[in-house]
Amino acid sequence: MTRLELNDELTIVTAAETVERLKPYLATGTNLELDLSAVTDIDTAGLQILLVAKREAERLGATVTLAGTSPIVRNLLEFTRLTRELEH
Amino acid sequence: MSMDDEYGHALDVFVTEARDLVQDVEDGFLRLEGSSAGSETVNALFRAVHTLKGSSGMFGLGHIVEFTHVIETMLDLVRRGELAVTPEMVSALLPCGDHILNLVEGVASGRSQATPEEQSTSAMLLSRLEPFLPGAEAAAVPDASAAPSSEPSDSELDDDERSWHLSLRFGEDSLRNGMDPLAFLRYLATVGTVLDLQVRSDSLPPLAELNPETCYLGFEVDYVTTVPKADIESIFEFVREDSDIRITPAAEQVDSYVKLIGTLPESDRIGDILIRSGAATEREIADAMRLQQERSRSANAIVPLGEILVEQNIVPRQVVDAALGKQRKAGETRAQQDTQTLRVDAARLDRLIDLVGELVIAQASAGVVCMTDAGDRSGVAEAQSEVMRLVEEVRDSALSLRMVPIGTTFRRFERVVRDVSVELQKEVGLVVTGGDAEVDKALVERIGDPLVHLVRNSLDHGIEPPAERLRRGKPARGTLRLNAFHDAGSIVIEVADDGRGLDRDKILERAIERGLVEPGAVLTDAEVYELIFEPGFSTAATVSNLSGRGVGMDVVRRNVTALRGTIEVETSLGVGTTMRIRLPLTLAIIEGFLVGVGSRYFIVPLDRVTECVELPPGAIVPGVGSRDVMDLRGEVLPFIRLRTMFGIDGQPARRQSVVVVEQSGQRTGLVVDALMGEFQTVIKPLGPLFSRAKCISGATILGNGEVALILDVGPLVVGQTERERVLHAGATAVA
Repeated sequence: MTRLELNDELTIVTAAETVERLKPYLATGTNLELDLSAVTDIDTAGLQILLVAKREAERLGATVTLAGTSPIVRNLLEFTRLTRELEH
Repeated sequence: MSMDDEYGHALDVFVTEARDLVQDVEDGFLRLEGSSAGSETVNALFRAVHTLKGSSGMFGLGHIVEFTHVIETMLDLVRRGELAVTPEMVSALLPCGDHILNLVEGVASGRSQATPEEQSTSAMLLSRLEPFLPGAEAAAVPDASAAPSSEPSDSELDDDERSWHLSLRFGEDSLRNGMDPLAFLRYLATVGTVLDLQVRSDSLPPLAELNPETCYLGFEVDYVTTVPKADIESIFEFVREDSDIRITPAAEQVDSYVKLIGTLPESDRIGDILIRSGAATEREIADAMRLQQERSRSANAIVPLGEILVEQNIVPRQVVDAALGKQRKAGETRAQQDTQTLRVDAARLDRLIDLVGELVIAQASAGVVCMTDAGDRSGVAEAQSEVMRLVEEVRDSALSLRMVPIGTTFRRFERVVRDVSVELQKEVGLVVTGGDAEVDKALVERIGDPLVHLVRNSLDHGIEPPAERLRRGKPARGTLRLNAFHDAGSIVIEVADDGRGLDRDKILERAIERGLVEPGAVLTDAEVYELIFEPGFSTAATVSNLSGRGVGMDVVRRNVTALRGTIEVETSLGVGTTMRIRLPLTLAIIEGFLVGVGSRYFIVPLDRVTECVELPPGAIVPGVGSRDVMDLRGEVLPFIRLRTMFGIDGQPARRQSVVVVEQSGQRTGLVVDALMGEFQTVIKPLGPLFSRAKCISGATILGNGEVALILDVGPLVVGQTERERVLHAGATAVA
């Protein structure tokens, strides 16, 4: 289990960068724990990345779980009814 | 005729009469000042209001009855000399006339009750009348005004929450364009309640193919809100173009729409019914109609609008069915603007019927001549020319049915001038001349608004405040003249003021500032004054709430041009300005010039044609390459080859001709194969399918059964000038 901390904003501004960061872990089928406690902003681009990462991990028989969520992330997950799908 | 039809017909008559009565009422109000109690003016005014109230009562239009009742009471007091007329009272009464007209127009559009806004306007206007009424009567006023209409209004559902299903697929580039779908959803949640939200991630690719900046997610939202559908729609205004946004009434709401539609008045158009019920928005209907046209073109059959709405998930089928049930049956698909009834002078109608009778006789006798005098051509020709003469007379006579004196339009300016000069604290007298010049009714209606604009401009910017006028040695009271006269098949309407006139230098300076004119360019006076018709052009230092001279003048010009008219400015600094509008007498017939290109025919409006010349094969200006210009007596004349423009096959004639047309001082040649001469023609408007055809204003059918298109010279010339400018700019850039 590897823990990865995503900081600041998880938005279109950092999207490309975030994907590049995730790619090596996902490629090796590592079980990944994403810590989003320090995320200050999240938009559709950020949400997409979380969904893709989750799916990619499942495809390779690994897992991606959320280790922690900042209020803003939690709020979004609730609003989009994705809490269950992404947290576990 | 069914009961419903009879009622509808009677209501049409009511509306027509009520409009006339309101006009009488308004005139009466204006003349009230200075009339003594018991005078004919007061009596006539009282009768008009009384009649309005009475006939509204017959149709169960309680809201009009209540409102007019108070005014009637007041006028009755004036009539009996118990109440004195003051300018303040007239000022309070004038808007009541407008309000009654609004209520009548509401009835015309199918509403038999007042809307909440109308109710509050009624109450507000009546409360302003209250101070003029003696104590005993005043008590009765709130009674009449505050009595709320007991029946439910159409908009009842509007105040309630409605449920919607939103299906949102945002464009791929939304994120890149700075539009975050989640932000829209959060905003939605502030104007209503998001009951459920599902993220649709079907199009999300595997990680390797993911473009992090592309938007892949879609959303399905169950939503409850009190705002109308159009407001929900407008939230997505900025992403509409690339996205697929569908807003459908929720399934459980269907029954209430069906019920609501049941209470709406019938209409020719299903779209109107759906918009009125709130199930669809104007934009959705417009989009669906566009789709319908495209389909119809490719499938060669008309796809019902309702089907498209259902298929596009805009409106559920049951709601469409309910609206279809409400749609008025065949035979009444008249165009919206022609649904009004028209009052016609009985003598004119008699004359037309006489002529038709004569025509029938002449036609019959022509038949007899043809049968018996087969060998004698002169008899046939004579009979034929008699029929022709009668046909022409019948046509003129039929057209005259639509003719009304322009004075009816001018009358409303008494009011405009009064209101505006009070507002601006200026003294202005209105002088109307030529009010009996006759014009097509349709034209009168459509020229009204541009005229109001010109009049307001003159009052606001033309005529100086009294102090300034005195300083310049003019009388303190300004004069605005409205004049109309017939001139060579046109009607000319003049709006003239004795104000400060247009400042040529200031206009030119402003035009240069705005980049409309190159610095140092030499312009004629007419060209300079023409600049005030440019969009957004104004020389007014401060823009008043009335509009600066220039603001909106582009709209005036556009309206006038749409009526195939022209507008010119005559002005003299310090002395005054005259705006002169020249319009064709009728919209239905034009004097045209018939030309041929290949096997096709075109008609150029004759008043735009300045001359015809032969296309000189060697006269194309050398060295300009492919540019379509020729030498016309030493001047460069750009020309348009109609053959190329309309994609007509075949070889051009050996000797081609050029019809020189002029629009606002700009000349362009039209290259054609054959000139066929003048031709008086009845314009057939083109169907909505051709609404985007810019350079064609209509069509007509020639004697040989061929269709000829009527060219709209304005856009043709403008288009050509634009192309020239682009070409020229290109050539300069290369050099």
